[in-house]
Amino acid sequence: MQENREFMGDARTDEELLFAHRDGDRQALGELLERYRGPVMTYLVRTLRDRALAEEVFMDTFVALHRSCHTYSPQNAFRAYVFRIARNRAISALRRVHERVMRQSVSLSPEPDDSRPRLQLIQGGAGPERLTAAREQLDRLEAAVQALPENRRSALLLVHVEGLSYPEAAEALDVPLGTVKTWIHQARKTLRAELGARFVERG
Amino acid sequence: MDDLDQALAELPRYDASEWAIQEVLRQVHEDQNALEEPEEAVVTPRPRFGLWAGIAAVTMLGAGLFVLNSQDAPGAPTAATTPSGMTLKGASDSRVDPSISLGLSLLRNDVPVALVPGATALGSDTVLLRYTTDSSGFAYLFRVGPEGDLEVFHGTPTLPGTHHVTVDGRIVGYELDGLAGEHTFGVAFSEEPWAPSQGTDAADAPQSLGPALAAKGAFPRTVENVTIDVRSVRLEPSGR
Repeated sequence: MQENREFMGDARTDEELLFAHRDGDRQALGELLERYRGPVMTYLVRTLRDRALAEEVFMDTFVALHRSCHTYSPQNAFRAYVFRIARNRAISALRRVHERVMRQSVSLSPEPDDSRPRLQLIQGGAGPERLTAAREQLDRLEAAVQALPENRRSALLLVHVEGLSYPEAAEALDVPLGTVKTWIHQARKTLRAELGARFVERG
Repeated sequence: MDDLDQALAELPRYDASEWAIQEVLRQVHEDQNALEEPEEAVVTPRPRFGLWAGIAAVTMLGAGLFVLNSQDAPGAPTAATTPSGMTLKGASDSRVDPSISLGLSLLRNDVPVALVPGATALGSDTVLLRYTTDSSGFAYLFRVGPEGDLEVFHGTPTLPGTHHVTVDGRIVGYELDGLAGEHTFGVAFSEEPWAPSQGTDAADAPQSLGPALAAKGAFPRTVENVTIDVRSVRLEPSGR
């Protein structure tokens, strides 16, 4: 069982919290949500490229976690387990969206346009501040990451952004360890090629 | 760690909203409560957004009836599934009407504010809308003003689940500036898109929404293949 006690809100490990939730502790899932709301949401936003959809899949992921907690085995790392659910749900959501777009041949009239001036953007619009050079570089990196194939992007994000170990990432992605290493190597190579001199590998 | 590792670590991070957290807990508790009920228990058809539960709206739509009667729900569906699609123990396999529910909150000075029963909104507030449905189809958001004026301000194909109102993937809200009195916000679900006859959905909205709005019964309710749910927002008299 993975020791994961760095969070201060509850001394129990992730696995202990999941078992407590399974056994009827109504506080335990809330603590798991607090621990993973950032990591899972960050992963989903980059996977789905749509914050609203990411939030829907986030909710779907944790409801699915609840419904499958009776089948969870402590032999599996919890982090890998929850990211595996998130990834599977994200892929399903992308498929549904794709199918919907392909199926929809009817042009809906209620397009948001100038006849609906009251609908105002709440978030995600261009900020008023000028982008700095560093920010532009980060934006380029973000775009390059999002342009990666889904499997390589997921492997890279899980290991280099969310901090999973290679074995955990392999478990989350349901592929052999060697495949994860290959995907990450390819992803890093692609990013360096896309982003140029600043990210040339050292030594 | 090289520059690439460092740059990856500096990429912006995101966080699920507090509302999403509460919605997960609500669905999970709903599941847990359902499993604790006897097999023959009838499932409550209406998924509730806790803070907004019990809200009532009374609005006149033209000359038609638009009366909320929470004790009389002849058309209310008996859901066989939860909003998120889980089949419930003891539920019937027969076809049921789609379910949809609407949740509202206010954005005040860029801070989300719960719209609790009895609360009033300011003219400077923005209404945030989200809905939960168990079906694939088309969702339309509308507003009925104090004089019965109807405005359909958003329409979109939708999937089962909980959805914010978004444009191009970004969350949008409805500005209340300039409005007064009590306004009813609603969501309508239809399996098929409304066919605009004159190139404007507003022209078709009364005929599409009218029967469901005019019928008696609790919300959400389904009439002529349109399921609607509504919530009311009352503005402070001063508008500010």
